[in-house]
Amino acid sequence: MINLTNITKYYENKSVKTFVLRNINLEIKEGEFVSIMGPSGAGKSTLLYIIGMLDTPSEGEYYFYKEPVHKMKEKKLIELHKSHIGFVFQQYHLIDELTVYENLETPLLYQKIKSSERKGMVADMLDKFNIVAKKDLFPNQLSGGQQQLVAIARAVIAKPKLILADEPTGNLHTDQGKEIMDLLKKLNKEGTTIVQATHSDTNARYGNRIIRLKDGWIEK
Amino acid sequence: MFINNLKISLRNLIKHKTFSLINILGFAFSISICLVIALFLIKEHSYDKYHANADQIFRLVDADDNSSSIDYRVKKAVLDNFPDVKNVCLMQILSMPLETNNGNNGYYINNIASVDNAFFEMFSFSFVSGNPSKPLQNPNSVVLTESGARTLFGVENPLGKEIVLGHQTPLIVTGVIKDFPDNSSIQANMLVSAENDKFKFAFSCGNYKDVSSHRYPFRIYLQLNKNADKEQLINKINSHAEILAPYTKRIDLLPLKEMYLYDNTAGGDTKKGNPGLLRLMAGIGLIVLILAIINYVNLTMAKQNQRNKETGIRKTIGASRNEMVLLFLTESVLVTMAAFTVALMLVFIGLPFFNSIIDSPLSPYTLIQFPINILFLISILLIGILSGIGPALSLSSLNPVRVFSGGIITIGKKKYFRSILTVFQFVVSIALIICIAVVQKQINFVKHRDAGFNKEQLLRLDLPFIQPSDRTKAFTVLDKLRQYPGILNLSVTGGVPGNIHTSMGSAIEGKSKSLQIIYVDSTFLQTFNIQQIKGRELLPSDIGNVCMLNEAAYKYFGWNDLDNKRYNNGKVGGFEVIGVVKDFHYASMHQPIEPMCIIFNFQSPTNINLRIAKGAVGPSMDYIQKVWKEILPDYPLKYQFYDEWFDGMYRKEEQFAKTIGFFALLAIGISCMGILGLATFSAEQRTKEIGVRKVSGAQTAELMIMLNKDFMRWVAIAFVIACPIAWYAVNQWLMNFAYRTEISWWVFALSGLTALVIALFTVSWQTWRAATRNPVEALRYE
Repeated sequence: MINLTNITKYYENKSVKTFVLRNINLEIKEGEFVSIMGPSGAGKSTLLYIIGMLDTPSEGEYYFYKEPVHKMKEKKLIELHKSHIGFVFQQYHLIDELTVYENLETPLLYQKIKSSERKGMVADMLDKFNIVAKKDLFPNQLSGGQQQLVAIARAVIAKPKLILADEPTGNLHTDQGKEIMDLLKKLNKEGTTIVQATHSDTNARYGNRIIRLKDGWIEK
Repeated sequence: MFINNLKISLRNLIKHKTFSLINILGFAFSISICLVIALFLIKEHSYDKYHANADQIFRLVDADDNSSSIDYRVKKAVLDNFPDVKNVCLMQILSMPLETNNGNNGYYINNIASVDNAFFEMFSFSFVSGNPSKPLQNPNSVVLTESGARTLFGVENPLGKEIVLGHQTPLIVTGVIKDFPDNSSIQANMLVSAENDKFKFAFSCGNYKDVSSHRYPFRIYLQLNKNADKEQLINKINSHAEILAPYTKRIDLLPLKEMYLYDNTAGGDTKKGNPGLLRLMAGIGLIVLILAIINYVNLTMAKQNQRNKETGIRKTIGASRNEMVLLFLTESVLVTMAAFTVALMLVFIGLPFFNSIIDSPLSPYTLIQFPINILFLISILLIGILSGIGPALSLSSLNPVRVFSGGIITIGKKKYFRSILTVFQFVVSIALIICIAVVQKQINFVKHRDAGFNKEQLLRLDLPFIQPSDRTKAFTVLDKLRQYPGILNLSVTGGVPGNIHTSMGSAIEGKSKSLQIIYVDSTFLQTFNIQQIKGRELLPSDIGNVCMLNEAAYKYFGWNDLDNKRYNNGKVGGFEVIGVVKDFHYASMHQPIEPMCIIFNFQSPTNINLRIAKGAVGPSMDYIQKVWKEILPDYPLKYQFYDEWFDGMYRKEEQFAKTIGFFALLAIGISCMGILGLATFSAEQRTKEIGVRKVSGAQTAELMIMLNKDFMRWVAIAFVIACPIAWYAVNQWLMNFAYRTEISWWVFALSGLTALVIALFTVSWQTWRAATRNPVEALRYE
């Protein structure tokens, strides 16, 4: 499903290149649950953003379902990204001005899904994640765990093939974290490919494969 | 999707209440100014267009003299020879007030028009009474406007009643029409018949004895047939010059619709607008609008960092750039709509005040009536998009990754542009403050400067032309007035300080200047408290033989004494010069005091001047009115106090001051908004820096000084630039006056200080907020 060849990412400042990722070669098959580990600054988030098509590599090739992402125009990228990929962030990144219901609805709006269908999909999600009672609350009225739950629900609502999670439990305490990881495991069992970036060994063990990054390289 | 955008935009506006309010108010303020200017421009361009036949009406112009004054006999020649012309009418307006009597009551009526019935056919009128198809039934008919009728007859119906013009000509009222509207360049209160020889007001001749050289010029209007071509007709007429000879050789046609703004002919008799002023106002309106939009953009960009996160998130969940742009545009159009609504309210509230400063009142309802209201709505949309497109494009191009990892995006390139804009705004503000300070200073100066005669409790009474048979009655009035204890002094003069209407040559070798002449009686000097500085006292036997000069005249003639000095003009033998008086202002301070000759001779008296005792004004006025009404009831009574009259000479300047004051306030408002934007932006940018400084021990005051320093620098630069500009401008303006106040340095200093203080307050609001913010919050960005 995902094929990265010689992916390199650097930032240039007056002809001084700062490398974040070097020569990443990676293949991820559908249905896998991959954990990317490494210390701070190793490039985990950057790798995730590149896979998630939110950022472009400086060098290298990226094939998503055999399509060459590195050659795609922005419009196609957005299309591909929004219909196939869901993102979960460490800081949840919910839109503060919208209610839980509206937050869940937003990705569907951008997919131009009709109003009646949207209603059904959101209701379904609220039910599945057990947050029906919270649908009219704003994010700042929820606890950290609940917010992350909503963030995952939002990531999943459009039924993406791939979920990218960047330290999903980083801002949560242990119990909440476990709940979230269990949820991700469940989604994976149902067929969603998951790639997570994490510090924690405990979380990494939820996956079926661990990739370690150090200074931009994959550790062998 | 659109409803969603609307919902989000509204929530965002409410979330940042204060900021939204400032943005909307500032925008509204500027837009209201643009709306008023727009109303003014619309009105000025609407003159004369209300006539049904407006497209076909032209004024005949003598192309060789560039004059609109053509002998009335041309009318018949045109009608008889050019079938393209459907109708021709005559018009002439006497702008001097003429005494008109309704029975025993006399009134001054000005703007008396002499016209023919064709005038009523060609131009559009609303008749209240009378026959619209032949209102002037005979040469002794007169048509009144409602205002004219009200003046002469009050609420009575004037139809069929008689009035007497100039104490000589009786006329019968045969019609009443609604007043000429404001936007008509033709204005009149009373319309008499041009067929009456008495009402051919203007007369000129080459040689009085040669009747063929007599001319009775009128304004002549042609109404062309609908399909007639103007140029063709002009050519036709000019190629048959013999038809209109000998009155005119080459003609041109001035369209009625262009008469108000583009008439540069002589003798038009119509109200004229000022196209230069219109262009200036349009320019100002545009600049104000552009500045307002730029301000809005600045303020929005300053706060945009708070929206970065939301933008990033939306882009990760599938928003395309265009969708983001649409979202932000929805917001800006919403803000613009709110601003326009507030602006409309401001215009409705503020227009009455504005109307008191300008001559031609504007109606706010024009904005909401068709077709202007369509334009209004389109403007909202356009301006909304224009204002929003900048921030929208810049915001929506954000890379979400950078947002999440970096936090605040700096848009450093634009910073200097913003600063320059703020400097420009403050230059305008400071310059305007200086101007208004100087203008006000000058107005106070001229009003309080010693005029050389005592203006207090001095009444000017205007004498109408008294029939020879009523002369003795007039003298009785004078005696009675002299007897009244409340009236301390009385002087009858021909011409008065403030209205000199005679000037004669010097009649002295080598001196070519004309002298201002005023005819006075023996009590002139006491009544006016004018000081005599040279020469001998006036004796009763002097009346009719002597005169006095003012200092300016004395110096002009270069005399050292008054021995055997005569002013050899005004009568055979001239007048002996017996004294010199201290210069006094016989006109407004716009004019310098020129040489003047005060002739002690009872000749063409125009005014009675009365010095009234302090505290006796009320009863004295009553007495004057009583005596006049008793003895000269059919002569209108007109009077004014000198101090009020002279103060009124600066009315134009006072209006000017009010206008500048208005614009100054506006400019300061806009500048404050601008600098607020800068300050807000800067505070946001330096949040982390401030947080770290606070943690390291900086005090609030220290932080504020550090943040404020930058802005004060810009204001200081603005001050330096504004001073020479303002100095040049006020100097030019002061040239209108012969007597000027000093432009003191402290005026400049005070203005600069005012601007600085205002800017400081504005900026401090933001810097205080930033400096007192909890550093933990600031540093939590990571």
